[in-house]
Order: sequence, then C-alpha cells, then structure tokens
Amino acid sequence: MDAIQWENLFDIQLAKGSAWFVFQGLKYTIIITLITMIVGLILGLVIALMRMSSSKILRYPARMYISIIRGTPLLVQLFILYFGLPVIGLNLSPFLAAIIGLSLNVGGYSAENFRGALLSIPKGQWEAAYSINMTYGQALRRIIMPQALRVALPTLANTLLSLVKDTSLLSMITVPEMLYQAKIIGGREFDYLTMYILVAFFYWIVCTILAWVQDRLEDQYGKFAK
Amino acid sequence: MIQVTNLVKRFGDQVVLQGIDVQVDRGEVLAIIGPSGSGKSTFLRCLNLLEKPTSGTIQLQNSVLTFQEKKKIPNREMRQLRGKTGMVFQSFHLFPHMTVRQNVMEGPIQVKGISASKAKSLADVLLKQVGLHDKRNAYPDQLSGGQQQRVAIARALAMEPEVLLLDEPTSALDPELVGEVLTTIRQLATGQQTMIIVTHELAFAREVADRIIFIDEGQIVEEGKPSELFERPQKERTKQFLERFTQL
Ligand SMILES: Nc1ncnc2c1ncn2[C@@H]1O[C@H](COP(=O)(O)OP(=O)(O)OP(=O)(O)O)[C@@H](O)[C@H]1O
Ligand SMILES: [Mg+2]
Repeated sequence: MDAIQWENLFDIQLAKGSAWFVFQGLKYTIIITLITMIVGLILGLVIALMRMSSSKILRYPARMYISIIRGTPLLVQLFILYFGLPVIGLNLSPFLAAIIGLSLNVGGYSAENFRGALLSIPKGQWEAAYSINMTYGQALRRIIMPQALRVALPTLANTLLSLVKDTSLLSMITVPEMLYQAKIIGGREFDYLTMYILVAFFYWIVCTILAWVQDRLEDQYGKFAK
Repeated sequence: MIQVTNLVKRFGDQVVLQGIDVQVDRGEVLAIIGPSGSGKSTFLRCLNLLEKPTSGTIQLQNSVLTFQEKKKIPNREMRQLRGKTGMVFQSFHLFPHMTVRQNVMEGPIQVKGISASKAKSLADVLLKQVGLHDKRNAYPDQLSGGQQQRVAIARALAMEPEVLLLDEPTSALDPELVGEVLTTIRQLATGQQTMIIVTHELAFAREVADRIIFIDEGQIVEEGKPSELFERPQKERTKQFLERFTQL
C-alpha cells in the first residue's frame, strides 16, 4: 500500500498564499452577522410577543411565520429571496438579500427562544409589576425582559454561532464572504480541498472566540442567577 | 372610602364571588377569613384589577368602575383605580434582579416619575420603617422569607396606596419568621394605613382588625367586630369554621 499522500489533502503553500484573500471575506461575515443579529433579535422579540398575545390577529400570523421559517431550509429561503423576487420586479442586491433572509431566519428561531424565556418568568412577576401600577410596556422592559434575557442567553449565543456558520450559505447567492472567496481560488488552482479546509479553520477560529465570550458572559450573569 | 357593590366574579361556569358588598372606611383595618377556595384571594385581586370582575361596582375615593360582561373598561381608568391600591402577595414576588432598595424605588421612579434621589430617600425611610435598612444593597435571594415579605411591604408602601391589600402575607413563612412580618403590619395598623388583610392567623386578625368578614363559597356569611364575631358568631357555618381552626 502506498503511503498516505497528505500533500493532496492540504497544500500549505497555496493556503499561505491565499489566506489573505479568503480572510477578506470575513468582513462580510462579521458585518452581515452583526446587522442580522440585531435586526433578527428585535424581530424575534416582536414575533414572540405577538405569538403570546391574546389577540388572534396578532397570534396567527406570528405562528405562521415561525412555522414557515423553521419548516423550510435556509438555503431555499435565500434562493427564493434572491432569485425569486426579481421575477415579480423586486431586484435585491446579494448583500440585501442576505441581510433580509438571515434576519427573517434569526427572527423565526429566536422568537421561539424568547417565548420560552418569557414564559419561564413566573406570573407573579407580572402581577407584582402591575401591582405597583406599571404599564404592560414598563413591566416587560423593566421587570420581565431582564430576567428573560438571562434565561435566553445560552440559546441566543447558540443562535449567534449558527448564524456565523450559516453565512457560508451566502456564497450560493454570490455574497463574497469567506467560502465564496475560497471557491474562486479553488477553481483557479484546481484545489478545492485545501481551500475548504482553510475556510473551515477560519470559521473554527471565529466560533471559538465567540464561544469564549459566551462563557465569560454566562459567568457574569450567573452571579445573580438563582 | 371603599365601596364594593354586588361584586361577581366567574371563571367560566364557576361562580367564585357571588355578589360581595363591602365598605371600608379610611384608616380601617378589615380582615377577611374563610376556608380555602372560598374566593378570598379572588376578591382582593378584583380590588386591584389583577382579575377583572364579571360584574359589580368598585368605588375607591373618586374612582368608580362599574363592570359588566363584555364591557371594556379603558386602561386609563383601570390604572387610576389600581394606583390607589398596593398589594402584598403570599409569596412576595420581589424583583430578583434588583437590590432591596431598587425594588422599593422602582415604582416611584418608573410609574410616578419622581427623581432618583427622592426615590432613594423615600426607600431609605421605608426600609428603616420595616427594619431592613442594613439590607438595602442585598438581593432578594439573600434574604429570609420574612425579610423578603417586609421588603415587599415597603415596595407597596412606596406607591403611597390609599389601601394596602395583603393576601395571606405570612402563609409562606416558616413559623419563626411570622412574628416579624406581623409586627410590621401591626405598626401600619396603628399608623392609620387602611388595609384589607386576608389571613389564616385568626389570633392576629382578632388583635389587629377593626372588623372581620367571614367568606364562604364566594359569599359574605357574617361580618362584625372581632370580639363579636369570635365570641358570639351568629351563623352555624362561622361557628364550624372557627371551631375547626381553633382546634388546629
Ligand atoms: N385564574 C383562575 N381560573 C380559574 N379558576 C380560578 C382562578 N383563580 C381562582 N380560581 C378558583 O376560584 C376559587 C377561589 O379561589 P381563591 O384563590 O380566591 O380562594 P381563596 O379563598 O383565596 O383560597 P386559599 O385560602 O386557598 O388561598 C377556587 O375554586 C379556585 O380554583
Ligand atoms: Mg388565597
């Protein structure tokens, strides 16, 4: 049997030479992740509150939305936004399609997280807030949300990690993020494998850093947790 | 000062309050006693609208709300009435993410819009009054049940309620912690705070209340001065209840 040919798997020279080019895609990953996380979480909170509302007109659309987002593949959602909307006259840039698609996705998933976290806060907390004559908004903002966020934090951090990794799907709608950049060089040099491994390595670094931040945050919050 | 007329509360088919009439004067302490499930908590919760009464009228000073099935009461009117009440819950419900003092300051700052420094000195006065000023920077989970309940009383008082509603304020406490909370309530009673107290502490009710109401199955069975009601109950059901309780 021949010796294993490691150099076919990973070409160090190529990796070194193209690292900077691939790394440039990281700024898209970061920018899109940041915007999407903010928009998506706000959306998720609104959807969660609608989903928990006593009014059917608010509740049913929210349920439908969550069901569709969670019941269809993200890649298909992105395709429909990017390739489908031009058909009805709505041309989105890849960047905008990415932001919208991922935000809608984060919104759908985090809505369920928020709902679970909000429901985990005892009813007595709402009643105590009302008993000092707070409005619904004040009770939510001052009393319920601070406690619910603490509950939701671990899941939200996982959402963030998934989101970072999901940005790789954006290569399919021509957003020049890391995987897209890697594929350009991979095609030119006839060596996709080296480039994929390089991209995987970059993603792993980013996610490891985020996981570290998450641990620190949870330690902080844990101090006051019951 | 408070006038409740023909208050009815239904949960689905179950009629929990079947027409309650109560009047409370300023500075009066009213105790409500009665068996479990008789509607005592529901009555208190109707008074500050945590439960929406099915029908009847609640008057608290210049706030008069009349309830009817399907009639919507404007939020503003509900909050106007609720703002005249304060509530102390059986299981405290302090805000766990805030210190003791922040718990007390929260209402005055957020709801009444008074300045942080004024709210702080108000909180300090109230915390001294309930004997917990040295705990002002602690978090609720660092306190005993009795201490938590006294903070909850201070939190309610910070809103300067016309009437303080207390729902079994000592029932969740270990026996050795009951006394300190009762002492605090006793002080309020002598200090002219109007109160409605639901309690199973009959001896305490007798001592501190100006008037006692005995409720059973959502109806007022009997009411009167503590001495009258405890020593010469007129109704058979009242007698049975008192006997059972004094045996315990
Ligand atoms: N939100 C609710 N939905 C349906 N039924 C309720 C609700 N709240 C109370 N009830 C019912 O109303 C009745 C009266 O309850 P309530 O809590 O007022 O009694 P209570 O006199 O305070 O009893 P306890 O001494 O055990 O606290 C009970 O039969 C209870 O099951
Ligand atoms: Mg009760």
